[in-house]
Amino acid sequence: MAVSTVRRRGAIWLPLLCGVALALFMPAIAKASGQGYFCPSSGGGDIFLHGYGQPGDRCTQWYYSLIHTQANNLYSYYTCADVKPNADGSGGDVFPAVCAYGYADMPLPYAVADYATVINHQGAGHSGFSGFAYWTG
Amino acid sequence: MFKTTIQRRIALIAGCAIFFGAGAIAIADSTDNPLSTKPALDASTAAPAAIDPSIAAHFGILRRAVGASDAVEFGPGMRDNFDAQSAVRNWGLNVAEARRGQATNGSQVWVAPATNLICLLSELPDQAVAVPATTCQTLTSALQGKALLVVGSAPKIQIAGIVPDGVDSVTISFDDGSSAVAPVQDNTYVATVARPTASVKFDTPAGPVELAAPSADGPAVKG
Repeated sequence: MAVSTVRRRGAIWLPLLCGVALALFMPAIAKASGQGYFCPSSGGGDIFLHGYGQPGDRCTQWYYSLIHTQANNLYSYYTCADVKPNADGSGGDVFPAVCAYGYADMPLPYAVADYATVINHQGAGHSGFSGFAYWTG
Repeated sequence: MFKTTIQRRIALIAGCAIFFGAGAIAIADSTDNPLSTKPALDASTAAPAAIDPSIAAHFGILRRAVGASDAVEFGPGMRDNFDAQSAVRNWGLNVAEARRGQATNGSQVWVAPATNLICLLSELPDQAVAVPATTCQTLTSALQGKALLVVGSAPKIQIAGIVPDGVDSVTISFDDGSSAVAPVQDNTYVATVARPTASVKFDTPAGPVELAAPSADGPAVKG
C-alpha cells in the first residue's frame, strides 16, 4: 500500500516539474525567434544582419519587419539601415535606405525572407553601441 | 546506482530539471553577443506617453491642441505593422498625441511624444516604397536637430526633421559643397533633393547648429 502511494505521488510530481521546466524554457525560445542583439566587433564598416534567428540557425521563413537601432545612454550614433536582396549584403537596395541618429525605427512593408539588412555607421565610432533587431513571420 | 524507486524518480526529476534549465540558459545566451549592451527599454511594456512639458516648451507644435487633421495616416498595411512592432511599444510613442507637421509633395510628417522623447514620424511616398520611418530623440538631442530622417539615395533623397521654436529654415548641404534652403513650418521641414546630403544647419536664438546628416550614399561621418 505504501509503495502504491509513492508511485502515485511520483506520477504527479514528475510531469509537474517537467511542466515548470518547460514554462521556463518556452520564453527563451520565443525570445530567440523574435529578436536579437548585434554589435560590431570593431569600429567602422557595415554590420550585416543575415536571416538568422540565432548563431548557426539559418532562417528561411522569417523576415525583418523592423530595424530598431538604439544607442546607449551616452552616445547618439548616426546610422543608416539598408535592406539588400542577398544574404551577403550585396545587390541594390530593396527599400530606400533610412538614416537617423539613435532611436530609429524602419518598419518594412512586406516579407523579405533571406534578405540581408545592412547597418552602416558611416565610419562613426562604434564603442558602446548596441543594436536590436526584430523579425517576425 | 539508484537502488530504490524513489531514488530513481528523484534522479529522473533532477535530470529533467537540469536538462530544461540548461537548455533555456543556452538559448537565451545564444542571442546575446557578449560585446553588446542590451537596450534598457523593454519592448513590450512601454505605455503611451504624455507630452513632457520641458520638451513642449521648446517645440510649439506640441503646445497646440490636437485636431482631426493631425491623425496619423499610413498606407495600407503599414499602420498595423507600425503599431505592433515599433516605437509605440518600445518607447511609449503616443500616436494619439501626434501633430501633423509640414507636408510637401505628398510627404507627411508628424511630431509626437514618447517617454522622455520627442518623435518624428514620416511617410515619404516619393520613394518607390513608402517607408514610415520614425526617430525619437531626447530633448538635448532634439535641440541639436537630431530628430531627423534621411531616406533614399540619389537621385531621390528625402530629408525631414524637427527643429526648435524660432527656427525659420534649415540649410541642407550636399556632398559637392552646394546647399539648398528648406522652409520650416510647425517646427518641421521636409525636402526632396537629388544629391547625396552631407549636413543640416540652422540658426537658433541660442546660436547656430550644424550636424552631419549624410544619406546612405553620402559622405561618411568622421569620429
